[in-house]
Amino acid sequence: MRMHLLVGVLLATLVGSAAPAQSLPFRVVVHSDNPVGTLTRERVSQLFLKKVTQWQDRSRVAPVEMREALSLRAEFSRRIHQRDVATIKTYWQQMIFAGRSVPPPERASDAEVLEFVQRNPSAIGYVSADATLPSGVKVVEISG
Amino acid sequence: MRRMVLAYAALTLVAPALLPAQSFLERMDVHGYGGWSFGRTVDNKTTNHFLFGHSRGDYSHSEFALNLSIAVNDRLKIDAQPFWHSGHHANQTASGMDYVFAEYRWSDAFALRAGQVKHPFGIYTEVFDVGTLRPFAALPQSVYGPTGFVGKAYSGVGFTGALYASGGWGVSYDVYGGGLEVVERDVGFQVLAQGPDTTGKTLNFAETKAFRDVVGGRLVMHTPVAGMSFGISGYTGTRPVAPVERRRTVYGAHAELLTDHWSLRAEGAHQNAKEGRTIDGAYIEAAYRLTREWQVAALYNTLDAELDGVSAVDIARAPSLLRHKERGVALNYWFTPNFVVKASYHEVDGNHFAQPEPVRVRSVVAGNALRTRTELVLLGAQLSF
Repeated sequence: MRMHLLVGVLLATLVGSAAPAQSLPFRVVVHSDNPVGTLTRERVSQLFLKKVTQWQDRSRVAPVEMREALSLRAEFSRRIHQRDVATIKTYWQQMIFAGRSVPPPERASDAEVLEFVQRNPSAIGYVSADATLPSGVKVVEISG
Repeated sequence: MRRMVLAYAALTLVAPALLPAQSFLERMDVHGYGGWSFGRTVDNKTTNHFLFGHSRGDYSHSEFALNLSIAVNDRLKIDAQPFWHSGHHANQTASGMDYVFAEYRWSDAFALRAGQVKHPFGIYTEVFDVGTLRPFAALPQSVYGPTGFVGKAYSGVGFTGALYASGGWGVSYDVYGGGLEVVERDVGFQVLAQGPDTTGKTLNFAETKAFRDVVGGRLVMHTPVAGMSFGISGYTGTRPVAPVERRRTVYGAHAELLTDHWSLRAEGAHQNAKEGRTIDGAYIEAAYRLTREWQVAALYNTLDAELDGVSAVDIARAPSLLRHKERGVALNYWFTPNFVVKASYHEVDGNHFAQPEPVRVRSVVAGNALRTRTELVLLGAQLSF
């Protein structure tokens, strides 16, 4: 009996570690022509904070954000930037008034974000995990 | 410099002609900030002014600025920030350009800036008057006060960039050269240096000093700990002090940790001037969000100055003019990250910053009436958009 229990715990641990530690409520998306397939969490954060502004082919990254009031924005901020939306807003104030950068444009829904990404080969955005993706948009896997 | 500022301002105005109208609007970002503060010293008999307050209470400190950024194309942008403010010195009002410059970016690691560019030194120079980016209504005076460490903008050419590794480490830099106007009020130094016999001696009340042939830079290390960074800054330049040019060298270091709840900052700076003085300033500032709206903060500021060629007897007339030790506490209410109301209390020992109006310093020192202790209450509202 104890052996069965131990095996069961071991199996559960292995399965648990093979599956994503936390499934994300959003998916990061780029244009289908973008060769990027996987990005680390840190790199995604750097792209959306415009700390990194160029893809490997030197084209300018065009991030698009969700509107501040949306819960998906808060989830993305917490999981990717490891900061809440208010702290990120303060970061953008610093960038703006230092003349360094301006925040990405904002969209009010998954559909608007997908349209933005579909029209812009350099774009990166995020949508709800269950959003239906149109042609011309693909998901980027997040590692780390 | 005035012509350059006007030229860039004109360029900002004609930029729409370089782009189709609809495209221009899409490429322009407009932001701004503003604020108002009231200050009053607790002792209603003191003649000392400090920050925005004095014994009668001062309602007149207010400011507003517009921030304009125009992306002409993917590599070139133009930034301008006109401002307006009023202060307590004889109800002064002032307006002008905080900065106006063009930036051409080849990559994240390398960009050229030319024009009147925010002075990159330490933590706060690039956001000097933006009250929503700090826990106290005023900047820490030991580094950012009118003591000659920092300027608001340099006029010249600079290079800037940043590199971020996938592990979370990053480095950002600024290197620049040109002219620099430094904020400085040194009436206290002049009073000590002139000694008790002031016959035929005048005081210079100018509050900025212009340096040229300035070379400077700042290097910031960003760590894998989100919000933690360390940096060093420095510059050197000369200004005419009849009959020769005198060199001033300033350098400093800073550390910062910003999380959702904590804002921790520490900074120190040293000024070694061939003009005959040495100044060391430092502060530590901590702020904590009790809730999303309520924030408490504490501050310790220290500054010490030494004057060369001034006798100990003359310095003994008012040694407090060379000293500033300040403790401050604040309670803030953040309606949003863009609008905050602040209340703070400051206790100061020393008269380097807390002193009578410049025109009265000499007579107060001569009358042995300088009060070395100042207590100040500040109330303010600050916003940005």
